[in-house]
Amino acid sequence: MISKIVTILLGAALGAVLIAIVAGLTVSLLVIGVLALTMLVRRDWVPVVYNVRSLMVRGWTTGVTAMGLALVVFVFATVLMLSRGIQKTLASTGATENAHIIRKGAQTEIQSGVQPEHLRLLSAAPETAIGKDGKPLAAGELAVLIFALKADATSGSDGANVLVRGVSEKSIELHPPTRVEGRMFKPGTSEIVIGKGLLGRFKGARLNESMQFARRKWQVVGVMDQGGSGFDSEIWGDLEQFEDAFQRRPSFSAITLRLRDKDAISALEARLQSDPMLNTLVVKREVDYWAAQSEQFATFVKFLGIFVAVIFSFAAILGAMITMYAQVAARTQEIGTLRVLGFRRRSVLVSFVIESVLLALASGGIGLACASGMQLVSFSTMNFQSLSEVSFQFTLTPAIFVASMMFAGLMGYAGGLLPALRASRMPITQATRGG
Amino acid sequence: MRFLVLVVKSAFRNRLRTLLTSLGVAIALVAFLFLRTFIAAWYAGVDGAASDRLFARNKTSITFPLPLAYVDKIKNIPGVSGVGYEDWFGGYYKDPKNFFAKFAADDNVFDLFPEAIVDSAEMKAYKEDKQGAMVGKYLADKYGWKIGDRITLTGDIYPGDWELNIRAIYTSNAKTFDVQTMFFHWTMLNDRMVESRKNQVGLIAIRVNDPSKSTTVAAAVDELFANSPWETRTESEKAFQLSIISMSSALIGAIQIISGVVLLILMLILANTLAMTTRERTTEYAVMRAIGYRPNHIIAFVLGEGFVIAATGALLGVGLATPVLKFFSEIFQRQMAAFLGSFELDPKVIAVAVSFVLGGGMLSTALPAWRAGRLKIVDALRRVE
Amino acid sequence: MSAIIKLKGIKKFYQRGKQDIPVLDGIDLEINEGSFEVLMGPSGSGKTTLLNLIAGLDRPTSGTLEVAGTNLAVLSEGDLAEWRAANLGFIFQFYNLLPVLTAFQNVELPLLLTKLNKAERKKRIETALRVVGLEERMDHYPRQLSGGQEQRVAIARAIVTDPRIIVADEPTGDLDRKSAEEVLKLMTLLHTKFNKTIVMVTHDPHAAEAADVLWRLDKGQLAGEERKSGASS
Repeated sequence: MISKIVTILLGAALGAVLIAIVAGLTVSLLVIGVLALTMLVRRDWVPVVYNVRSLMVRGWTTGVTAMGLALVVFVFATVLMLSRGIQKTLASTGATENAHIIRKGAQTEIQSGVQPEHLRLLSAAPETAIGKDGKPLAAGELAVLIFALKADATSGSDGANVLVRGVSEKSIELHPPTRVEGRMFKPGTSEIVIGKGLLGRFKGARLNESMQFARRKWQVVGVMDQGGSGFDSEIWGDLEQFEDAFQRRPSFSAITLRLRDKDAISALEARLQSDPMLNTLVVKREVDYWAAQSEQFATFVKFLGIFVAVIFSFAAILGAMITMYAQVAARTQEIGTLRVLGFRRRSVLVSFVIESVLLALASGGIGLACASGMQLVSFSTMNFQSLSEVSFQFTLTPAIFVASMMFAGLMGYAGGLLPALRASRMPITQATRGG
Repeated sequence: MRFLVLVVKSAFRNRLRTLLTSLGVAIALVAFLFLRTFIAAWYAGVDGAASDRLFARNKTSITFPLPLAYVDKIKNIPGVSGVGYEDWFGGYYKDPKNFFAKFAADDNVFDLFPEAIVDSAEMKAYKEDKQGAMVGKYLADKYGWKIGDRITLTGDIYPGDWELNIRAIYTSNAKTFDVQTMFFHWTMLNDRMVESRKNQVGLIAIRVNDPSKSTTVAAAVDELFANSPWETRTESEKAFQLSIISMSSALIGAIQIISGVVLLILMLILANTLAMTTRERTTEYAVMRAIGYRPNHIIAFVLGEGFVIAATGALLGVGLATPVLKFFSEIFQRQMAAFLGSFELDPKVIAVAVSFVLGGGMLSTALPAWRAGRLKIVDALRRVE
Repeated sequence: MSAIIKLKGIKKFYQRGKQDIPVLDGIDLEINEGSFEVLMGPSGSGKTTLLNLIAGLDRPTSGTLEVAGTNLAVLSEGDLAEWRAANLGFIFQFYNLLPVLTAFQNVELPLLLTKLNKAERKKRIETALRVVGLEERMDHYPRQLSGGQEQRVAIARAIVTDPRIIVADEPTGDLDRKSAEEVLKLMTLLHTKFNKTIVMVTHDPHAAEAADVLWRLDKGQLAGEERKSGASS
C-alpha cells in the first residue's frame, strides 16, 4: 500500500517537474522569439560568425557534445522511420479496389473461417466486378501460420511464424506480384512461391530449394516481388493443395473480390448485414484490413522509441548545457567586451541561444544522415497482432526529417537557454576583468 | 581521510556543473536499467521454465489443434508423470484494449505448475462450478474482481458471449510466474463447440519424472504421432519460451543495441565534464606540484574527482530508477500482459550498471589525469587565463 | 572649451553583508571636451570604479553624473548600451579583442550597432586601421598579432564610430616599452588631431606625461590635480 502511495506521489512529482520544464521552455521560447524579432528590426544582433567560429575553436568539447546530440537524433529518426515503415508496408498491401471478407469477430484471417457458399453468394453479388474471362473476380484464400526454422537455426526452436496463403488464379489476378523471379507455381502441384522478404532467411527459402511443412515437401519455384508490402513476407501455393495439407477442406480463411467501383463497398456492407446467409461475415477494403493489422504494432514501436529518445534527449540536453556553461565561463571577457561596446543584454542572450541551437542543428543533420542510411537495412520481426513475421523497411519522409530537425533544435534551445541567461546577466564590470 | 575530503570538496566546487553531470549520468542510468529490465521481462518465461516440463503442440502450425485423445496416449509413455492441456481462448473483457491471456484448461491445471498458490477451498469451488473462472491476483486487483463476481467475455476465435463466475484467485512466490492469466474449464468451451471442432486442445503440458530424460520423452511423444494427421512438436518449456522470444529477436536485438548506446552517451557526458574540469584546474595542479605533491598524487586526485562525480550520478540514478520503473511497469503491464513477465529491477543488473558508471567515470578521467600529472610545473603556471 | 564630463558629489558604495564599503567618497570633477586627462592612484583608490562610472558601465550610489550632455542616472541598462555605442570608445588593458574574429571584424563590431550599410562600414574600418597603421593586417586573427598590434587594433575599434570620448583602462599595462610608446603616440594624435576627449587610468608615469591634466585619487577621494600648463593643486 505504502509503496503504491509513494509511487503515485513520485509519479506526480516527476510529472509536475516535467510539466513545469516544458511550460517554462515554451514560454521562454516565445519571449526569446519576440526578442529576436525586435533585434532583427533594430539591427543590433551579435554577428553569427562569432558563434560559429567560437564553436569550431573549442573542437573537442563541441565535438563530444555534438556526438551525443547526433546519437539522440539518430535514435529518434530511426524509430519514427521504423514505425512509418511498418505502416507503409502493411498499409500499402492490397488494392483500394479490392474488398476483403472474413468472419465477423475474427481479429485476423488466421482466426477466420469462411464457407464455399459464401463465395458463391458473393460472386453473384452485383457489387462484384466481372473479370476478363467474363466470370466474377472473387476468390477464396486459405491463410495459415506455419512454424519455419530460421536459416541459421541451431535448435528446433529457433524459428518464426510465417504466413502461408493458399491462392487460385483469380487471387493472383487480384493481388499480382510486380514480378516473379523464376516462375509462378503450377496449380495442382506441390510448388510454392515465396515473397522476397523471406528469401534466404528460412531453411529452404531459396529458388529451387524446398521447404518442409504440413508433412510435405514444397518446391520453391519462384520468388515474388510484391512491392515491399505485407505479401512479401508470405508463401503462396495452390489453394486446393493447401486445403488438403492443412485439412481445412472445404472452408477458406477469407474471400477477396474486386469491387465493381470504389463506392460499391457500402452497398456490399449493407448486403452482408441484411442477408441472413451472409451476416456472419464482415467486409473491409483490402488496404484497410492490412492497415488495421499493423496499427497496434506500429504504435507500440513508436511509443517505445519516442520514450527512449526522450530519455536520451534529457541526457543530451544536459550535455549541451554543461558545454554551453563552460563556453560562457571561458568567454566572460568577450561577453563583457560586447556589452561595453554597446550590445544589449538581449543580444548576448539571443546570441548564445543561437549558438547552442546551431550546434544542435548541425548535430541533428549528422544524426539524420546516419539514420537515412538505415533505409538500406530491412528489419524483420513478429507482428504482435497477426503473430506472423513481417519484414519492414525504414522509411524516411519529409515529415520525419522536419520533426527530427525540430527535435534537435529544441534540444539545443533547452540546453543553451540557462547558460545564455547567465551570459546575459553578467555584470559588465565583472566581465571585462575576466570574471 | 583528508585526501578524500579534498577530492569531494573539489568535485563540488562547481556545484552546478557537478549537479548537471550527475543528473545526466543518473538519467542515462535509469534508461539503461529500464531497457535491461524490459529485456529481462521478455526472458522471464525462459528463466522461470521448469526443467521437468515439456510442451507439445501441433507441428504444422501453432494455430492448429491436437486431438484430446492424445492426452491419454501421452500419459502412457514411460517417463511421463503428469499431463495437462489447455486452449488459448483469445477474446477480450469488455474492451478489446483489455488484453490478457485466457486459457480453457483441464480441471487439474495447476497440478503441473506447483509455482501457483491457490486456496484449497477456492480451488474446490472452481472445480465444482462448470462456469467457474480462476484468475491471477494481478488481474483481480486490476479489474476489481472478487470471488463470486460474474463476468462476461467476448470471444473472437470462439465467437459469442461467455459468462464466467470468479471462483478462485491464484498467486505465486516465484517472481517469474505469470499472475495475469485467466483460466476456465475446457469442458465449458468444448460443450459449445460444433461437432467438427469438438475434443480438440491447443497445447499439452507434460511433466517428466527425470529432467535429464526430457529430450528422450519429447522425442518419444513426437515419434508416437509422426505421420498422423496431427503431428506434434514437443519441446522443453525453456525451448518453447525461447521460440516465442526468437520471433521478436530483431526487436530485442535493437533494444540491446540501444542500451549499449545509452552507456556510451553516459560515458560521453562524464568524459566531457571531467576533461573540462581538469583542463581548467591546470594552474591549481601546477601549484600543488610546486608545493611538493607528486604526479601520482595529482593523478589520484583527478581520478578521485571522476569517481566522486560518477558515484553521485550513480546514487541518484539508482534512487530514481525504482519509482520510475515501477511507474512504467504499470503502463506496460497494460499493453503487453501476455508477453512480458514481471517488470522488476534485478539487483544484479543494478550492480553491473553502477560498476560500469564508476569504471567509466574513472576511465573518462584517465587521459586528462595522465596529462595533468605529466605537465611541467612551469608550463602550467605560465598558462594564465 | 566646455565641460563634456561633469561629476558632482559622486559616491559609490559596495555592500559586503551588512557593511557598506565606500569606494568613491564624494567626487567633484569636470573634464573639458578635447582634453587628455589621466587618473592615477594606488590600487584600491577607486580609479577604475570612477572610470566605469564615467563610461556608463556602473551606477553611482549617489551624486549626479552628466556625460556628453546626458544625465546617465536616468538611463536604463538598454539605453546606456545605446548611449555607449554612440558616444564612447574603449581601450582595455588586455585589449579584449574577440579571438575568433579577424582584426577587420573586431573593428567592425561597434559599427554593427549603427545604421551604416556594408560598404560604408568597410570604408570606416579601413580608415580606422590606416590611422593605427595596421591596414595590411586586417584579415589576421589576434593570435597572429603582437601585443602592441592587438592594442592598436583595439584603438581602431575605439575610434571607428568617431566617438566624442575615449576611455582607456591601463592601455599600456601589458605592453613592452616600445609598444607602449607607440600606443601613447597614437592616443596623443587622437586628442590633438581629432579633438577627442580622452580619460585614461594608468600606473605608468610615462603615460601620465602625455596628458593635459593629471588627477590623483586616494581612498576614494580626489587628492590632487596637476595641469600641464604648470598650475597644480
